[in-house]
Amino acid sequence: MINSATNAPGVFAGTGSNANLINTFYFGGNKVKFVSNPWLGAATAEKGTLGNSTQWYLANAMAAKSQRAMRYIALNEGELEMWYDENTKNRYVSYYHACAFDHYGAEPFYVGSLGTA
Amino acid sequence: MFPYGGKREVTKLAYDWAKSNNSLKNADPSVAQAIADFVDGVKDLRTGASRDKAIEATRILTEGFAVTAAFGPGSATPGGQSLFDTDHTYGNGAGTFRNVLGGSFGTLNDDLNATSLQAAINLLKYGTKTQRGDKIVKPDYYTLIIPTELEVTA
Repeated sequence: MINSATNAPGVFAGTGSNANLINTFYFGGNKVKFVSNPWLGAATAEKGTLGNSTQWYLANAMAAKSQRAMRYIALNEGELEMWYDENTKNRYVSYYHACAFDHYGAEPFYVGSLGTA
Repeated sequence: MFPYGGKREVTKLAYDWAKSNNSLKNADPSVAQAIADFVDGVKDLRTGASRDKAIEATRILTEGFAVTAAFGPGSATPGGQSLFDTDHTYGNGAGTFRNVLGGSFGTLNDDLNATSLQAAINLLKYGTKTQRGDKIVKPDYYTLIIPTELEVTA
């Protein structure tokens, strides 16, 4: 669709002839960067299936970033710990972190469509 | 909140060697192997943490079509709407805007195609508003986020 004769990649798109490298295209006079998210529609053990494989989103990521509209919140940046268990006689190394994601006034910067699943 | 944790076991010999702060050059071969295994284990933990971050970030989008939580994925906007909705308010109720297709901008929840993509671009260009009612600054490029299943379509 966006990789057509009339919607060709421009000089800004990087090098190479493969779509994996050329991921920014002209579309109707606008530049559109193409980002494939493998988690959309994927089944996960912890959170079930994330959405579905027909939905898609368009973002004004630059404006969203400047307004900090999508935020990663580190609650625990990470703890690496080593210890010895007297009972099992084993040595362990553990890693633990905690984080959260949230949106803060992101609605003007994203358009979403569920598609017809 | 998304906590992530995991642990990896190392041998007593490797553990004691690590505590001794000596070079691996003169260590028993099993120590070098155990340290290598440990490094792989730490990489696994790091990969797992990155994976969980990606899942949690994706959920902000996938759970944005209904208010299902007080915070994080599925939480409401400041106006009380779901992240993707037809009537976000701006300017103390001066008006509303949508950030899903429909109305003057294509068909609600349309599949990805040239028409719906252009409608989405138009929506971001002059359909959505800041809280003051201004249009959003045009970016250098728009970002189209799709599942891998739609790569060929896109």
